[in-house]
Amino acid sequence: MKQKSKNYVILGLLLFGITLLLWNCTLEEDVLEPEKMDFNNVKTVSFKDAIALFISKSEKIKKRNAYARNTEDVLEIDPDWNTLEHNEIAYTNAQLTTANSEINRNGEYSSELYFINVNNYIRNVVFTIWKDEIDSEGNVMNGRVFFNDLEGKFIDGYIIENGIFTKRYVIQPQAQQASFLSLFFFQSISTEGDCWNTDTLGEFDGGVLEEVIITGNPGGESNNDDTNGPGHSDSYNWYYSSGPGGSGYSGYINGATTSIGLPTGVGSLSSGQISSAAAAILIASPVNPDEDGNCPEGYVFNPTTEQCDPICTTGGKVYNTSTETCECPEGTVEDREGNCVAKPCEGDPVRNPEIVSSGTSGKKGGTFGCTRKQSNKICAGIRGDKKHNGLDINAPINQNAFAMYSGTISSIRNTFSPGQYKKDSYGNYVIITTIVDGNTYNIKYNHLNTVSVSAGQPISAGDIIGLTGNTGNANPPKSKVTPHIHLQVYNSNWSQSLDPADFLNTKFDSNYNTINYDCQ
Amino acid sequence: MIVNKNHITKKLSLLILMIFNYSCIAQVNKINSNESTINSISYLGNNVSFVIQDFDQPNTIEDYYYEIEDVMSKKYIYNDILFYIIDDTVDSFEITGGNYLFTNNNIKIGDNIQNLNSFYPISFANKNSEALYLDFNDIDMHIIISYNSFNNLIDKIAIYSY
Repeated sequence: MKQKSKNYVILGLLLFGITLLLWNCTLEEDVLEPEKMDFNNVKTVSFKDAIALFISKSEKIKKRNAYARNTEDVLEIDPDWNTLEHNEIAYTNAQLTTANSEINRNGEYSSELYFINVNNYIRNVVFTIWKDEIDSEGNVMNGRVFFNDLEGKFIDGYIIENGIFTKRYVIQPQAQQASFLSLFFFQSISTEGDCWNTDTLGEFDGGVLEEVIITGNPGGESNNDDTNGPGHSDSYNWYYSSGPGGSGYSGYINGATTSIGLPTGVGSLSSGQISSAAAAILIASPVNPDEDGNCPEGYVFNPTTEQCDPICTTGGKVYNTSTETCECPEGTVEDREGNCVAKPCEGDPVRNPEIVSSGTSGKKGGTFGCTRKQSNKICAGIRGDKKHNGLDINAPINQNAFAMYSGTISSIRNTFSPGQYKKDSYGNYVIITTIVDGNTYNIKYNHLNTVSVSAGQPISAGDIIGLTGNTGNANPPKSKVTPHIHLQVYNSNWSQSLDPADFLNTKFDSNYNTINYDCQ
Repeated sequence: MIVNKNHITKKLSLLILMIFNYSCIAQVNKINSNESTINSISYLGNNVSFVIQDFDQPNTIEDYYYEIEDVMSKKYIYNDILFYIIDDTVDSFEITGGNYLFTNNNIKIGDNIQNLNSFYPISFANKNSEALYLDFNDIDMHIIISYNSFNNLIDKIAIYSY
């Protein structure tokens, strides 16, 4: 029975894949990646924790149901813990924990419990596929796929019609307080006044299912077999994203491998791909507060969405309900340790920039121009003056160096190890080509210990480009030269070097001391 | 009584001034560039012909690119001493052997770093476990006198730009 049901699941999702593959023919130019998904805080749930969670939840549900008027509504789940296993899912090393289960419903179905840890909170669902009509080979012609919680509350669901996944269940606002029973069984479809309504994929007014897009699977091998027709590959992904006013979550289902030699669009879904689909829904779905309005541990109530948003536990991030990810708040940027650090003002490479003294010329020697002294040099016709082609900005070792302006990384050098000395050398550097007031400039950040950007990469003002340091001539052996960024600005064709002080947000007085630290 | 008060005030002012100078301005001693002599001859900033005259032809001459100044220099390499030459003038040098007396204080490789206490007390007080530093009064360069922390003996004298 279980094996047979499992086959139905596979077949159903196979048909699902067919639909989506066909969709690819018209949407393949509008390819998107599941970038909204945040897999950083996704972890595998151990068998022990899965069982413990289920028992704990079941006990609470039983207590609540003890006062229920109609006990027939109560969903009973009977997991087979001997079938516990971990299944690989896409885009993360975390695995989905699954166990077959029976539920107190009659009919042809296959049901499993799914568990996964998101933001240190274990999410779990009951995944069930119902067959309403099968063909002579037992394949599902009409059916329904549901994701429910342990009490039977609806999380997500799809309709299969004539072997194709045609519709997705959408919660109508007035149905929010409805009995779980009607939600779970979904007795009538698209009937006005019902708890549930459906919309055809891609034609959602309610905005829940904005688009379904099939993308080439980066891990799959492309199929150039002409018999499959153009535009088809051996494997593909699909995902959906929520539209304005939607339920506020998004997800994707990864992977569906077409069968080479079969008619165009025919495909199948492995159990691993099903797991990925379920994991995506688990990871992305909102967490609702309990009847008292309390959110589970690790979540905080969002009065705007009336859902529980994850508490971002690392690096000072905050939850962005639009992108559904933990992000650094305004005015900060994520460093390479994942912490949010304050950006400097636009136009400054570090916070609170100060000019570094260069010896007998003091801070003047750290500025641009004929500002230094050296007996064997001539600058602007004056013997003994030496040109300093840049501005030395104080920067303690291994602090973040920031892009002063948005632009493109035009060149880097990262061949120096941190602190490595070389006489009269700039050490590691980053060059950003940028436009300021309509003119193109090249801004060069020298003596960095490390470089964290690549040539050709676009960059925004305030992005971290590397760590400050003293590579090149900034660190003579056993020296104690003040670590600094030797900042240079050139015009677009590098024919003229310009005073970087003119490009800094921070200004300096006649004694070369910082005038203002604030962003103006 | 009034005289005593003025006397105390003057002493305190002088003390504060000394502390200020010592802690905020003069972390290191300074010398003039023409004091950075080798065997009593000043080479820094002077023509390379003086080097050839006194040291003869170098063992090796190597090309070296000064990236920051975007010029080619030449390294005149002798036994235990190296000169960087730009446009036929001495840009800097490094002493690593004991045959050369640096400054009129006759500092040489192998001397005990303690000997510099009397010449450069501020720099000596602020030296670290590896080196003592001197600045110049007239040019934006500095001198690093390195020493071995196990035996306190000077092992390198070099001039660097900022």
